[in-house]
Amino acid sequence: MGAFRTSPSEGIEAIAGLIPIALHLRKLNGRHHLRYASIPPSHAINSLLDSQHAKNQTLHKTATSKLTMKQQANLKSPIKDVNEWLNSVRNYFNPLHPLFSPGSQIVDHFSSRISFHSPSSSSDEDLYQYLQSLNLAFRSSQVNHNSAAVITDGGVKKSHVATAAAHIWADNSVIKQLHVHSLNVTSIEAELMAIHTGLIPAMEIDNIHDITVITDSITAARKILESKVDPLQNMFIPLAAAVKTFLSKDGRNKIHFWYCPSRAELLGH
Amino acid sequence: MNLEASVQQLANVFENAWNTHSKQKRITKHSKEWWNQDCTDGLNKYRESGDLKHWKEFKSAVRTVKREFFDNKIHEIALSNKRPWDLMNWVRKKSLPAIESISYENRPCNTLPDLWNALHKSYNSAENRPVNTRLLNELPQADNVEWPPFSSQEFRDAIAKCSLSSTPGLDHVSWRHLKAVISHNTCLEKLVHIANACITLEYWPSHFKSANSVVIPKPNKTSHNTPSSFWPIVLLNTTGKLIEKVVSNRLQFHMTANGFLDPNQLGGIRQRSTTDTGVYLTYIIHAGWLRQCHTSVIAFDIAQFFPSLNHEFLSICLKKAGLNTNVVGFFNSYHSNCFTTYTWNNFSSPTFNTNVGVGQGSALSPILSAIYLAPVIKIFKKRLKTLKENIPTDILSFVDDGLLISQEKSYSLSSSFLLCSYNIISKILIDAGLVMEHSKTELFYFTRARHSPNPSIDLSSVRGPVISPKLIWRYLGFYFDRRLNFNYHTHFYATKYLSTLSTMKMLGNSSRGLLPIQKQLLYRTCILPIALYGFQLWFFKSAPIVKNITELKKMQRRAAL
Repeated sequence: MGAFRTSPSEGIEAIAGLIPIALHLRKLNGRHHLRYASIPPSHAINSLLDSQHAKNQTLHKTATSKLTMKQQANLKSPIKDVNEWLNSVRNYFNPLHPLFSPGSQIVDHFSSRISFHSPSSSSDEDLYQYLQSLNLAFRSSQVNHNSAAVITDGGVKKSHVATAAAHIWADNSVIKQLHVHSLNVTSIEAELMAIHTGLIPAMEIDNIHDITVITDSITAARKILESKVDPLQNMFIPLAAAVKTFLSKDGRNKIHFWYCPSRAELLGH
Repeated sequence: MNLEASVQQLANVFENAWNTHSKQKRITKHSKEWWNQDCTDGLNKYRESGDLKHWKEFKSAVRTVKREFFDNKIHEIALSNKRPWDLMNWVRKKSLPAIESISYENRPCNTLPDLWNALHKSYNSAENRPVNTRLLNELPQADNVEWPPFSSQEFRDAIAKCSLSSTPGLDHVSWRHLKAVISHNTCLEKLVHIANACITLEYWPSHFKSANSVVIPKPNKTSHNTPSSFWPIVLLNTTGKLIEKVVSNRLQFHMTANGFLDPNQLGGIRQRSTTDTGVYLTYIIHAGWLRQCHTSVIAFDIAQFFPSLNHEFLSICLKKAGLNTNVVGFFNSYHSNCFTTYTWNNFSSPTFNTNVGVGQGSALSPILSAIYLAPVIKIFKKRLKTLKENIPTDILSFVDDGLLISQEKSYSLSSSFLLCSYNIISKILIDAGLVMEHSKTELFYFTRARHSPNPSIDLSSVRGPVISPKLIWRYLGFYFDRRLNFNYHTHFYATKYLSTLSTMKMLGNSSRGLLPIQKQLLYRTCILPIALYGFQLWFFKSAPIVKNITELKKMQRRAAL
């Protein structure tokens, strides 16, 4: 930086863009504690945690819940902080879910029958071309008797009420209109919920082999197939399981995910 | 065999490509990347005239060329590639080449054949070492593991994580080449077929086995005069390595899922780290203090761990781990008839046969070593339970570093417990074909009392020395002190990079070189993570942290100035 020896540290740190070390440590420490929510059940640390976080592992003889109340109050240790942090974690993680097993994931078997489409860049020209092909895809799904289109959208309003809606189209008419409301969710959860409400009934309809899903969050759609430990894990796992049974039921079954830009109406296409 | 022939064909294709497209380049210590025509002209002019003026002109030409070259390089690395941390290699301490003579069995190795012999013998010292496989009968059979055929997606995922700059094996195919090959679907499918055939035919082609062991000096050693102060790093052929990576990815998942690995094994397994080991240990110590117990630990080390894994023992372990016969057969073939050549600087040796060990540097070695150690730890725990006396000793293992923990009120009781469990574990390890290095065994007591004794333990019952505890104990990179305040630890890591910080100044100043924002990035990516290593052990609520924080603050101030 080229500051003087006597310049105040805090000022230099601020100009250099560095976080004060104590705050930096606090930030990293929080992340480190939260990591223990996603460890597999056979991890050694689990045996030291409180019984509700221990994931059914036999507790160590010095585990927190085996200490007396007085000892617990006097305990100073990183694990005590971990316990407090984990109390605030509502999400459920399981890194060893059978759907995540390498070699048996959805992408391993059916990657050729699932496709994702989104515009190659955000320029107007590309977007126009992309929307043309999206139109074409939707129309062809309506002409063909064995295919259906699911149009989904989810959103969160300022009042924290989230709405997830889905329309199922086949033969140029709406077959089903579904919607779900929820409180205190993030927008990606709402989008995922919308795909969930639309896709599952669509897959249950007989004689449908080709489903086109139109959503405005392709990230949410990709999460279904990613098979990774994720905070939304317990939301997308039932959906992923349903997709897997649908695809393995018939060799002709296919799913296409199309991104529908929200800006489309503004452009007037 | 058909598989062997097709892989050999693949190898031939790679070799032909190498032979036709590679050029021989002579690099001497005088060749410089920045040298250009201006420098040659200047030098020729001076040589003709011998004039001092021309010499000065030549020198100034060299200086401008050099400056321009390195400025461009910094610009390219920092702005075009957006990877300023690649520049950190420029500011490291320059390591001197090892010039000591190697001695093996008290005799110096003066000729190359002697040297190869010494290296081979010390890295294969476990050859013909007896193992007792009956030991494994005590172990329960783990759940069966499903092994569906490989999919192309697994290969794509595995190669995406590979570093482009890693050294290729004997066939000169680097990850960059293989990535280009795999981006074509037909090539990828062929590769998946080869991998599936390897498992179903239980055969590992010899092309994938040909290895080159590069002998690298172990860092932070004061003297390099024995073969054991060097690492043999195996360079395998990249195609085989990719298949190994996919197999290891599956093993990592299944071994954790079916519970074959012991929870107290914390090394070489995904989602388990040194920090976890440290947190586990510190928690136990703190909880012990609440019960008025001090904690005593013995840390033991396994000599030449990776090169001495026995293949027969390992194959039974794999069977016990619930892998099906095809996969176990594949691993038997994977380990049999391995050949390697050693490379030391520019010299390479004739081929040697290796019948023992897994190569350091192969993707499978961490998980295979963890599978090898899991029965040892499980049997140790079981033996402790069957003893008449209750010996409450804990065991932790991080790859080849083991730890025995005992918590008692009396020192004599804890040392006798530790000694007893040390005897048990050394016997089990001998049965498993491993040898403990008693001279490296360390003893340490954690206590809050002011004037507490520091008794030694006599290991003569297992032909070891008398070990006496020190005041600071280094384990997995943490510097533990007896009262767990970690003052020495933070002081060590905060001052470790002070010299690097000052040398970083040469990468840029206010007029040229790196921009301040890039320097800040460099500090945050290259220095801060190392300086803060292990902070989880001392940074928690109501912990005495002022001294440690001050130490780190000093470092950050030096960096910002």
